[in-house]
Amino acid sequence: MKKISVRTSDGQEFELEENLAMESATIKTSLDAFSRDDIILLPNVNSWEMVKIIEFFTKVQELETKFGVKFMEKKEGRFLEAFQAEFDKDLSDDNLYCLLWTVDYLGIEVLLENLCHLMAERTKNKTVESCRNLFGVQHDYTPEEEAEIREDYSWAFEGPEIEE
Amino acid sequence: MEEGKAKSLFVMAYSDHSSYSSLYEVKIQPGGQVIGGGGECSNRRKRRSSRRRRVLLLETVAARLPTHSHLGTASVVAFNFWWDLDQEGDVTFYISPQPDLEALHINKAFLVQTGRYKFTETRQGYLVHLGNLDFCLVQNRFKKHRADREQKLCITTFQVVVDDERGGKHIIKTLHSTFCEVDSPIRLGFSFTPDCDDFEPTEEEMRVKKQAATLSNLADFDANEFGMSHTIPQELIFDILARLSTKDLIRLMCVSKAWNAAIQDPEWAKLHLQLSIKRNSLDPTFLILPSKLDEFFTMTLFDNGTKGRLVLIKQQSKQVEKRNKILGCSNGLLCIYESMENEDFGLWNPTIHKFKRIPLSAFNKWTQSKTFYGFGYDSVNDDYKFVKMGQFKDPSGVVTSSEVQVYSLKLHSWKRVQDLPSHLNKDYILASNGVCLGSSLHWLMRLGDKGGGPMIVLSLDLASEEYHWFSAPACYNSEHLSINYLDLHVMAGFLCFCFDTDFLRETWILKEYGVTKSWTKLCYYNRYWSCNPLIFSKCGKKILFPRVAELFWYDLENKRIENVSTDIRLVRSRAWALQTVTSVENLNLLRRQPELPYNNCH
Repeated sequence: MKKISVRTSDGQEFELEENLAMESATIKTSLDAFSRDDIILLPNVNSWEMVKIIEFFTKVQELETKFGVKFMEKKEGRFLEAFQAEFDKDLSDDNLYCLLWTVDYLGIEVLLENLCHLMAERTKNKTVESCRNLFGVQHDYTPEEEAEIREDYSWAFEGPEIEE
Repeated sequence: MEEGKAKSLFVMAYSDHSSYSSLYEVKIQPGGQVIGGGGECSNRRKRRSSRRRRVLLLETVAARLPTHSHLGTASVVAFNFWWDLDQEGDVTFYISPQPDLEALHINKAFLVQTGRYKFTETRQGYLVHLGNLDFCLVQNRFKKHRADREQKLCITTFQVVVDDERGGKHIIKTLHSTFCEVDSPIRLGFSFTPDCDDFEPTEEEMRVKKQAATLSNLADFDANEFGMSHTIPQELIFDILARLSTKDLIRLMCVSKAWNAAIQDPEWAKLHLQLSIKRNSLDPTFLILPSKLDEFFTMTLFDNGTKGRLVLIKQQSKQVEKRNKILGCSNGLLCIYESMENEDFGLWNPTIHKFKRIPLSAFNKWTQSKTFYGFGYDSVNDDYKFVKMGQFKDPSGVVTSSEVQVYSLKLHSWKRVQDLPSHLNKDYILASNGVCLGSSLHWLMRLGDKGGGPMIVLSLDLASEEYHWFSAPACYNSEHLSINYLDLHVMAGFLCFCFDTDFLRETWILKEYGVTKSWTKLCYYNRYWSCNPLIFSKCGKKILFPRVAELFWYDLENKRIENVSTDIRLVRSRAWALQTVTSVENLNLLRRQPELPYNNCH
């Protein structure tokens, strides 16, 4: 199996198997444009992100051989629940955010679907303020306006799982 | 026409070749004759819009119907149109057709087909109101073929008057129909008469453009303030948000104005609904509603359907509390009521605690008929519709006519649709309320007035407003059984027909839609269970039934019952449950913006 070399923003080089590298739409476009022997430069990708992505692919291949199902083609957010729990463990919110951007940039649909699902799970019990921080959204409501929304929909702010 | 003053009619037209448009002025004399024509007033930039305008006149909207060229006449269709504002600030529109106004005489010279290339002709028309029920119809005919550049313009003036001889009906009195030939080809843009306070629709266009711009601004919103090196695109954020429950989304409306607008956007709500439906197929969720709706439960199945998570939810609205009967449920939106006689129906979205009363239809108060209703979702137009159907009998008890009205949630309006097919109406009587499958509502109809006759299923397609029908299963009219309950319902995307005999309730399912032969007996069970099945299990061999506030699986093969274990302590102390329906998280009814018509000519 042909190996494709990529270089991340901090100068580190990684080798990917060709079929896995082609999962990334961005890499695929570069490969179609240039020769396969060149190193592909990815100035927008960090090395730790690349490590994570390779980890994902390795795990998927393991599970595919174990269960005999082609996970790549399914594109379902559900299929790797056990794996997701593991993947989720050592990723901080900010790291998840950065990884999400990178995977979107690289265009790896399957992983993107999983990360969106993970991000949604994390958003579920977050306070409004921490959501703003997480997604980098500017707070443009006046305190009165926000209080009005909270009052109109007070039932949504109740419940044991919200830390408001 | 008013005495003395000649009114100016401006015909806005733009030529095929250049990008400029010209304004032609034509004068209409008091008697209705048209003089002048073809004189260019000014040149302007080409406009794209060439909408055929409808004239809104007080309570009547008039539109032009195509010309019958062999008769030399055209007809005008008029609708009664009015609106009502209720105390919650919600507007309801009512549209009811009047009989067509016919016999508008068009100048024959205009209608004659000449030239070789008859089939590539383009016809345009524009109706203008000049005040006082005087109308002017501007028509244009031209051929697209380069070799035949003949162009004809016809301006017809007419009045709508009351004909006393025929009992006060409105009829058309054609005044004049003038025909002019035009040298250089033009296309009709629109026509207007400033003299009658009828202006170019620029303001209208500006308003529409503005609305479109605000929504697209959200896409350009740049969240770069926090100094992150990369920000994930807006679409991705909303893709993530679409996976959340409605409760979380309501909370997150506080995050920012952009998020607030996106969460309330009906287009985005469609995406959210699709994902909710997908989630529901993996983890089925149900609503359990007690007889007093001051609180209710949601039950979510997990662990392959063997366990259920019960959540108690408090219900605040007094409007909802008293309406404890369910007419129908579509995509998590429930149509509830307290009394059918009072027609106090309303739409309730339990996941976001929003309720909207369905306004009373303003048409004739129906007497001498039993009215049947139906509620469903029109997926073609992304609209929820409520249908009211009645058959009318004459004094001897024979059914002579029918009337069907539809309320559209999206358009805030009641309108009358075509009556029931007359051959059906003659022989069959409506026997059940409507249930929704696909984008159609289905009712049972029975042959003859007394029970026991063969039955059919009548369907009304909510999008195309067409009727279809097919037979119900011919299984129940065995003479030795006494039938005391007959109903249609929908389960897991299939139409089901069930009836009670002395001890049993039998359910038949239509395996292939529309194919009468595919009615198959699904199951029969003790009629004292008194409930209708909800869904199939994943393996397809079991059906889920509700019982009080619990659920159980009925194994079709082994005829065994398997309970779904839940925390029943939560339920025991509450009132007896009334109905259980499948629930879906839906953002509908969140934002309701009434829009009043802005184009008004007197």
